[in-house]
Amino acid sequence: MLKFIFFRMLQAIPVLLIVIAVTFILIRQAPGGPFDSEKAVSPYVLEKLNERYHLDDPLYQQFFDYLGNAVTGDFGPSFKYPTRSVSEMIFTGLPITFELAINAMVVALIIGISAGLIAALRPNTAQDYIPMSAAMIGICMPSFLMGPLLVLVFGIWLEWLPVSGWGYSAGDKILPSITLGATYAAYIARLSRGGMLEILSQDFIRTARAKGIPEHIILFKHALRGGLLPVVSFLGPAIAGLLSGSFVVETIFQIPGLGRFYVQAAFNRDYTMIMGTTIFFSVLIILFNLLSDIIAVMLNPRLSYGDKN
Amino acid sequence: MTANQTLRADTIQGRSLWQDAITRLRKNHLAMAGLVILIIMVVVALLTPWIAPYSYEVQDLDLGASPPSAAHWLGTDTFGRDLLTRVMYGGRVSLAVGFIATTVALVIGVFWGAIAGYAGGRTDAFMMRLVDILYALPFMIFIILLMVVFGRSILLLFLAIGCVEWLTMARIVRGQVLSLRQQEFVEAAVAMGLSPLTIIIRHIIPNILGPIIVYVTLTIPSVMLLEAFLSFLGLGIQPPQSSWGLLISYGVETMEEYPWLLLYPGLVLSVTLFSLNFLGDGLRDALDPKTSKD
Amino acid sequence: MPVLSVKNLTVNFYTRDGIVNAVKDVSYDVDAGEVLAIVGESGSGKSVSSHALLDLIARPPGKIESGHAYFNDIDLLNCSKQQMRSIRGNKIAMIFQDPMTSLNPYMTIGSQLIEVLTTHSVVDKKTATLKAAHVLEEVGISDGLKRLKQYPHEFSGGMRQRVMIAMALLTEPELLIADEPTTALDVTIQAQIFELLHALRKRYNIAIIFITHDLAVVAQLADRVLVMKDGAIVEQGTTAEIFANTQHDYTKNLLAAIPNSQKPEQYRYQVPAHNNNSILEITNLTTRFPGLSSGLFQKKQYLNAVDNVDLSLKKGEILGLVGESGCGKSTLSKTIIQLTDSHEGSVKFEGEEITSLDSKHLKRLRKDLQIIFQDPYASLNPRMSVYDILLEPLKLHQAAPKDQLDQRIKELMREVGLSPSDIRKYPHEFSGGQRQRIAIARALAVAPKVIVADEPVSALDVTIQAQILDLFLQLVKRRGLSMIFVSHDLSVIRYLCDRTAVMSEGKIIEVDQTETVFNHPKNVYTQKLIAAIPTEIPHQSPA
Repeated sequence: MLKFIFFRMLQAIPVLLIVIAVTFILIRQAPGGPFDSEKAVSPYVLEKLNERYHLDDPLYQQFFDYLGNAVTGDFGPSFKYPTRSVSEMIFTGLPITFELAINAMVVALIIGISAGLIAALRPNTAQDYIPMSAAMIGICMPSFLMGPLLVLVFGIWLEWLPVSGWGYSAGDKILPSITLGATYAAYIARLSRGGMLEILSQDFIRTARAKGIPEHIILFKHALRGGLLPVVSFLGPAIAGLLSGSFVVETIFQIPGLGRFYVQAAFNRDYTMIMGTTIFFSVLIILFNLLSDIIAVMLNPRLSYGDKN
Repeated sequence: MTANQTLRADTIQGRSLWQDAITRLRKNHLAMAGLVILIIMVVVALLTPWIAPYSYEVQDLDLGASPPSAAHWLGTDTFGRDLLTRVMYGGRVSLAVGFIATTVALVIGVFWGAIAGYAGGRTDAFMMRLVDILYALPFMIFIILLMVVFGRSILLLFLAIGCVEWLTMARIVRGQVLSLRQQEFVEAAVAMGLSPLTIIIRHIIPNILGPIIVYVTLTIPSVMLLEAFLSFLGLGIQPPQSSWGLLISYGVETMEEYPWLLLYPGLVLSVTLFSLNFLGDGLRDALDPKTSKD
Repeated sequence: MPVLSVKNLTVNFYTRDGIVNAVKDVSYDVDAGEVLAIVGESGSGKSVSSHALLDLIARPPGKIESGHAYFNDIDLLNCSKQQMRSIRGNKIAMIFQDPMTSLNPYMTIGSQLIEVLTTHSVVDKKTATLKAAHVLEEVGISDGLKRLKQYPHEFSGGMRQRVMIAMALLTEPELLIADEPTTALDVTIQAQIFELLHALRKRYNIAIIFITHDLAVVAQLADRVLVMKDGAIVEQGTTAEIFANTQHDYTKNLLAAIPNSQKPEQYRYQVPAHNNNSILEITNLTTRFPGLSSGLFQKKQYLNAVDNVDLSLKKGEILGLVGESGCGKSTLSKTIIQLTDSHEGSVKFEGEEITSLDSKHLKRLRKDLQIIFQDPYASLNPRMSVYDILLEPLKLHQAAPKDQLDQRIKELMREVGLSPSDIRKYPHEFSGGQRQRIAIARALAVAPKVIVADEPVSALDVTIQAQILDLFLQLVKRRGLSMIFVSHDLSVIRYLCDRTAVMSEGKIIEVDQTETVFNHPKNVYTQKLIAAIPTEIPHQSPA
């Protein structure tokens, strides 16, 4: 088990290095960027740039410098706003995005698993079709469509909920969390329905019934653990999706989170910001993927203890 | 291999598994509805330059944004451009991205997965290790990066999206090929003396087409969503071209005053995605009845 | 007063393709302490009728149309959910065929055992744990308390079935329904389970309904027998009656289908005038597979699936290769015909070494060495019609001129007992036995000299099995084939094979004339194997 964790972490490192390296190279290649040697700049600016970014050094040297700094959390100053450092901006926006993502995840898990379970209990009946159709809507209506629609209905026409900000007015966290979580709720609903149906058709469930175990205990004690495995495996990619999804949701709802900073940085060609945020997000995503894999293995005793046969 | 004339005369026509699947698919009304809608969308997209009521660039600043009317079935945007026309042209782009990127993913993914799955051993381990590493990369971020760095060409968009989706395709194909390879009829083909290439073409591919078709049908909507997502953020399709995602982003800006600018493109996108998903689900049920709701 | 009284049970399944009458008006009684065997082939309704008693049939698509099942004054088919739940696992217990899938892989054995007690009686966990450990010891699993904390995958197949039996006995039920409990087990394990059931039945005075397709098993264990076909009971009576005084034709067929000790005289191997007529000579053959390495930096360990095997196949004979699951017999047969690579040793076909041929010569060799597999559902490409399946080898090896191809294919169909008018059909439109015939036709298409049959009848019903075995006999004789017949079923081997090789853990333990191996086994392992065969049917006369 520990061996497994160790190896997976080991695998994550080259991935991380590749991410940083590719990002680094891409930024350096950006036409019209600060590192574009064709751009005509005054000698004074050029000297300052060289000083700051050691542009005279060979490329690999620059890379290691950056790496060294990055490890200590120093991503350099923001290109667009030189008075602020990238790490400072990241850590301002991070808690907000984090909270948004957690909220969305909770929404997605609660709605998704309940819907999936309800559907799985009576397949091919209304109890199945209704939640699954709602799930289909969640999948086919992207966040940038659902968000504005929710805003239109609940914010503008009904005026029940605020349409922007985070933490400024009561209830302003509701719409963004639902918007972000909806699509994932839909996927989780489908996955949990599928997983539960698959488990419920297995022989050992029949054995449990033959033993006279009450139906609700069969559901929660016998079936759930195996049935929700697909949901657990999905969590890793889901987090990645949530983080990316935050870009759109934060833009729509004017939330000052990391996602919005990232989008703005992309527009403003704030290269250091883009780089720092890219790396940061990548670390988070890789970490969560790892966690999700580990939990999946923990839940399946056959995988963790190794099959003696 | 077709039977000759005398063969047909005294033998009974068999019922292949494909025919069974098509029969099952026909019974699935939702899937058939999705198929019909999809065909309509594609036909309209293809014929747009000839059947669009207006040119998509022509502006009528005096008119400005107006709600649906007889002259403009879906209304006009803030520049007086006919929305229906823009939606039709946007459809061309969105659908094109969907189909083309998916094709890129399909070709690369199938080859990669089939070779890895059939070869097995070290080749397989190496090829899939590469897939695993690439899979772990946060692609959304990379696409954005690429878009920022290299400007926003449609070609790049196709390639970028295709490069993301091929990974899952490769995994699926490899999984299918691996389990097929252990099936006895493949062993029998080896025992017969057939070459590996023949075995792949005649025995393996026809039996993995099912899941591939299903996956392709479900990849197209997710690719379209990806493009819409990027365009919405301003990082995808650029004006003067439009895609549904771009139209939606414009619609969001003015949704309070001119809700139709958001609703119609949104509706069209959603309906297309619905159709593709229902069709994909229907195909999955038709091709492998065991995984369906029975 | 019978413990269970089933009256007029009828069960139907409403499927996509129509209504299936799975159980038709079945009635029978079971007395306290007696063993009733329900015998039938697939589709006979033997399992469905028993599952219906405990409401274990999926509804939909199943529906119990009518009937009563009286157990202690309660009609199982018309009782409340609460009543049913208090009977299941408590007064009536059930064990199933596949112990691997019948136990919850995500829960420990202990929790699965204890919950039976806590559900049906008012005991605290501690008492339940002790009782569970005690019952485990009773079924032959020592170190009960420690084992309770383990998961199902940490037990072997036979042990898992013992755990299932323990689970069934915890509440000391009046009736035990055993649905093919030994079908998935090796013959030696099977014998142990029988002994166990015998002993337990005496101790607890349980009535047992034993469902099986194997009449030999019935002879050993049952007091009374029920024979089912296509959902209806065709005959019932005491064990002695059924065997000595068989009434119904179907039962007679079933009995006749059990392999007699030996095949008819005309098919037996004639020792040729000149000796050393080996068509295949195998020496020191070894096939290795990488084993599971236990440590981080430990050297890779290998498992010898085939361990230094010497064997020969004479021209025109049927050589049996028998052993329990995992002994390596499949691997050996595949290695011999070069489907699996060997690591050491030599295989000579007609005097020539074939272990390291280049692809051109290997292709030519394939014409002479063919194989037939076990699973008729997996050995044919589902997307190809029978015509295409048979055409492929003919074209590949240019076995017939173009204008005669159709003719040839039709002949092949006839030779294996199928109708030539079916050649454009697809595999899924045929039954299991018919598909196996198609597989045989495919193997015969290129006129091979040696055929390896890897458990070709194990997946078939007993009556179909008999037909296929006879087909093999005819083909071997007519075409002068040499055959290696792999199986775990000793009675089939005894019937069919001229010589028999016994295999265990990759090694050939014993090889000799079949009758010698069966009547005077020399090796201890062989003796154990032979002893485990369910005893001979009472009325069968020796060959």
